[in-house]
Amino acid sequence: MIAAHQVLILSDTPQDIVKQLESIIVELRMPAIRFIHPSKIYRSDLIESVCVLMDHAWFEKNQNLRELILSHSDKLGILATVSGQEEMNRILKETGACHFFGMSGTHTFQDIVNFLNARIENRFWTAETFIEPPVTAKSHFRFESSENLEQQITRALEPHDLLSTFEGFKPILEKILNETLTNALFNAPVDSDGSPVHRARNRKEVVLADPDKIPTLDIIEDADKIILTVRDFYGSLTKKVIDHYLTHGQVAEKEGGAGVGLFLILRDAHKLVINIEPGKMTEFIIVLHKFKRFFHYQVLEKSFHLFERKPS
Amino acid sequence: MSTLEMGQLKFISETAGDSLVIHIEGSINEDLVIEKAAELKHAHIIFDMQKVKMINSCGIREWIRMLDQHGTEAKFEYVNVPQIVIQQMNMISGFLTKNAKVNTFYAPYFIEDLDEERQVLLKADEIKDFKAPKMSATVDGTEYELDFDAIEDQYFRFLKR
Repeated sequence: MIAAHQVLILSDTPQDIVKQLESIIVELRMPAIRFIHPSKIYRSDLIESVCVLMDHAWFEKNQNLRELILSHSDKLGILATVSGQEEMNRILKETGACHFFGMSGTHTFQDIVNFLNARIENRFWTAETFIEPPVTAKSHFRFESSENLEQQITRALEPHDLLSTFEGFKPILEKILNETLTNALFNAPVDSDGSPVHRARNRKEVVLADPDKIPTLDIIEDADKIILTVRDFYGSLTKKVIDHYLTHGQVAEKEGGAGVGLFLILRDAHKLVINIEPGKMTEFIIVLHKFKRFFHYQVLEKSFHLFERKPS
Repeated sequence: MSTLEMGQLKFISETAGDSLVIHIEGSINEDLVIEKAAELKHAHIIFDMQKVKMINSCGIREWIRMLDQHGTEAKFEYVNVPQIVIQQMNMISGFLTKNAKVNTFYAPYFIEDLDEERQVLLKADEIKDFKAPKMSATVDGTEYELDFDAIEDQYFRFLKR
């Protein structure tokens, strides 16, 4: 009898990335994890699982598996060794996976363990998931209006010492915050029918947040990382919208935003986590490792994670 | 020289021979009013990007729209392009339009011995086979070799367009 909260790990060959992690994962003795040969998976296995973790190579070489998995892409976690952002985008686009682990570095194993735990316990990832104590700085802000957003962002970053990072690091943070907060103030608000309130408005206009739903920003740092958490209290973002804009690097001729904000955030972040609780909250968690050299920032592996709590 | 102000963004323009040079200052964002900016019409415009602080997604769109207003016959050149703009040119398809080219731009280098980064102004025609040119710097009488501090193939991607 298969437990309904099962995590399926599809692996087989020694070259398989997942296989290489298998012995470590087995040591975790998580009862909900089940290893299965990719050619022996059935639709019922997928239906009953909460998550499927697999090497991207399997997706490419097994057509039947590919078709089966595509119908359950919301449960899919892909592990892949990629040479650049374009390849990551291609894989995300092709698979519709909610989770992507770039496997070129050393931080990934702990992430996979955290990920498996979160899926089994039906938890969101939080900023604290990534922090290695001690916390070196922490701050919290509320954004009541879009007026002078750039100055508000500059003030929010003031308590954070970025002197030990490369010169272009702060502008990257400012840009990410500009995109995420603009999204929280303009795109997120919906009325009681779910219709957008400000989405089509020109971003030059000043919009005021509903006093009960003021977007927030939390910044937390440890010695190696800075983590930005931007939260709105609408939960109106959907996987369909994310799938459309996440890997789409062309500006849109439409009312409102330019349609590349999410794409730019993914490009700049080392880890991008989106937690969605429909009708209640959307949370962007952006993890950036602090480096003195731009090259090190550029080569670090990247990951993307979408956790969506289904309405009960 | 004349100055066009749009919120935090300034366009300072001057004529230089057959060209119009526009020095851009501030953040390229939603403050960019294309109708206003497009009034600075000229067949050949050189954009000096030295003092651009930031560019966001709305800014990229407005920028592309502004260039469109000049028509396809106009020619654009970019000089002193900072790293943050180069990164956007590399990311966003269509940002660097067909009638535009980058002449000079900043690139990150690093002096390992001093643990110091340097932004070095490069000419586009110095880049051969997408390899960063060798650079050195003299600090307090000592000459140091500079390491290029980015993935070359990714940083110079805009030159392929």
